[in-house]
Amino acid sequence: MHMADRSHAPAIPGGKLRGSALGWARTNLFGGIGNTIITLLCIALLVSLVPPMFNWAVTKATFLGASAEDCTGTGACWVYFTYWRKVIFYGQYPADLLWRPNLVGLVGMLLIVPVAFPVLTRWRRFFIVALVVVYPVAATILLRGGILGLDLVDTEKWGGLTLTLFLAVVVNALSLPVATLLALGRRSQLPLVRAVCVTVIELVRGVPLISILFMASVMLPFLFPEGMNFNKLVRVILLVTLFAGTYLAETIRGGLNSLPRGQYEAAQALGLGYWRMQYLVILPQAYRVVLPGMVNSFVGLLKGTSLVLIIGMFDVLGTIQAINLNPDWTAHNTEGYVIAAAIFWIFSFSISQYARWIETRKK
Amino acid sequence: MLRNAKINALLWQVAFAGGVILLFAWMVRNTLANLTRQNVKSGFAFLRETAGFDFSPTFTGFTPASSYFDALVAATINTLIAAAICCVLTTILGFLLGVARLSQNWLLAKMAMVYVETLRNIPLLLQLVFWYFAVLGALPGPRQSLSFRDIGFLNVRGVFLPAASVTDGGVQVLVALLLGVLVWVVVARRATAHRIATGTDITYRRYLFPALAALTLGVALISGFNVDLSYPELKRSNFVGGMTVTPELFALVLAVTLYHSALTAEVVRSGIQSVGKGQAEAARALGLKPGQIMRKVILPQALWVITPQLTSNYLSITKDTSLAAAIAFPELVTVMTGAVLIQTGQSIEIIALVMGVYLTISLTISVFMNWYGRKKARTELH
Repeated sequence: MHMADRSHAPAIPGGKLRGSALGWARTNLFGGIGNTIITLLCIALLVSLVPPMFNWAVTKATFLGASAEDCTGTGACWVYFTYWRKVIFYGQYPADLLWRPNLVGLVGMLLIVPVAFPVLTRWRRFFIVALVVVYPVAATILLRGGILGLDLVDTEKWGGLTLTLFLAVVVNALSLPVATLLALGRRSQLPLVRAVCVTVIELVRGVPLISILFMASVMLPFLFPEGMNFNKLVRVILLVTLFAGTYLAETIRGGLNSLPRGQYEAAQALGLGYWRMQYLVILPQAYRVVLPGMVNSFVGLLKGTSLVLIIGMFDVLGTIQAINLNPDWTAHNTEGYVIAAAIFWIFSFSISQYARWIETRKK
Repeated sequence: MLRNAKINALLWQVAFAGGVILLFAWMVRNTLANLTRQNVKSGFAFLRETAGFDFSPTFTGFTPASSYFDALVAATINTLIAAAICCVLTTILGFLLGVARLSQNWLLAKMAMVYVETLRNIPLLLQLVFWYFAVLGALPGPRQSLSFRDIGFLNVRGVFLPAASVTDGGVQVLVALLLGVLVWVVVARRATAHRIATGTDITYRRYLFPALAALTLGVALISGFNVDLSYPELKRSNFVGGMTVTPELFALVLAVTLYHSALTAEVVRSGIQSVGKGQAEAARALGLKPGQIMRKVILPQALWVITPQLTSNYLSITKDTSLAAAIAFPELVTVMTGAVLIQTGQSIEIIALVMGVYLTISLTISVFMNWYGRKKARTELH
């Protein structure tokens, strides 16, 4: 019995330093000439970009102050945010009625928790219906007022983050039934229905969102009789719902295609009609399959609402653009864009991380 | 409902058709009433009228004396050129980023990830106005331009680069080059077929390329091929000569390329990851080097997955050039819904034309994707 001869064993990667930080650096950063050059180039890039940005944003920046004159340094002027934060978050909403958008936001966040995460599973359906059906209606009533003793706040005054989130949530909620109908119609056995649905889907998907928005703001008033005038926000919601609905319809159609035929046949064997079959058997399964796609569609919608600035509505980006026209603040337009980018990034990144989390959970 | 399924289906369709037709008829009636009431002209006759405005850049020699139809054509060409430049740059940058994200080098992979995750989650419009107003707007004036070795200049009025124009023999050289490419393709296919049939290689490259190069040079000499270079020069306070890239076009290409390269990087990454690990391991066992593995084994298979999504990205890029309406780059939407709409007021015809152009582009791309999907279904091994 003798000890195994280890002189011919294969070399351990990293050599004697394996398992330590230096060993890791040697394999992952400096393993070979090409890798070393790449690492050095990356470090050079980081060194030339990051310190100046950090200087501008933090070291030389002005954080406290009351107006643009207080920004005397060479860095960023974060007084921009403190001075304009009401407009960025609420637009022109009357200052004494801000409790209404705040309440709407709070209720929304409370409703999202049981829907998004597996808590209170017995009432899950109730919360889903509350979030998708009741909440948009209640939010509109609360924001607009005019009834139930609330003061009227015209939709022209809505702006900033309130407008962005309102558009995204309402359009998303409304686009769900539109998308479902279009997806079902596209798979229908009735040739006429299928033809119309395919035409609508391909037509709306083939044009850019901007042309749809121009259609809403300029062309739509012609299509309705005199006296039947909707305000701009309603027209925009109408057409953007159609737009989002066609994209979502393709996602839902993918989910419907992935269901085994046995589901349809079993439902029909049980005597269920077309609509009951869809409602009880097919759609719940299809929705579960395409849920990540639907969440990504919501993120796309959130980013897409920024386009309404081109037709003169003041969402977050539109508000920043308007602020930047103010001669006192034009020199600090970069700060405004950074603030807007941060707001969008936080929402967008969190929601898409959630979508990724759902996908891993399902596996 | 009636028991006979066919009559049932027929009745539903008749009802559906009836509903759609009624809706249409109502909208058309309202439109006609509103148009006559507001005294707006209708019809496409306005396309022959003189435009009366100007824009730059223009690749078709558009002048204020041209018609609205010429404006439509010039603006469409601007859109297509901007989209083409963006598509090419996005593909290159996107592929580099996608491969970088999967790199063994930890720093490179992490930096690529930060780039992709940051730019994906910020709206393209925000990036566009940021580049145009905050970055390009802060550039110095022409007299203090940033210059690259005194032949390229960057300032608040745009990018100024040297331009080359062919004066003689351009057509002949082009024909010679195209013939050369054709010959190369034919010879390469024959060589591959021969290698598959007999197992031995024919060396053709060391004879073909010098021959084609000599041929092209010969044609160039005989036809008197001449290229004129013109450099941008600062005259008073403006640059003359050379090629001017307007700040609007520059910002548009920059923003669209950076944003869509992040999306493309994700597509490339998922495509490469969809190729089974066994492929790379088998290639390594056969002794191929990492570069060869990527080029000859991984990427060809990954391309089957990448191409449909990439094509749909190209369509998105073309539609996203319409965002230039926010920075007044004269592409299709900006020109038609801007100057033309303000001057003629015929919103329905204009929006119909704009949508028609985009629909043509997207239907063309759809046809290609359908063809590609059928080809993939035919040639896939599993």
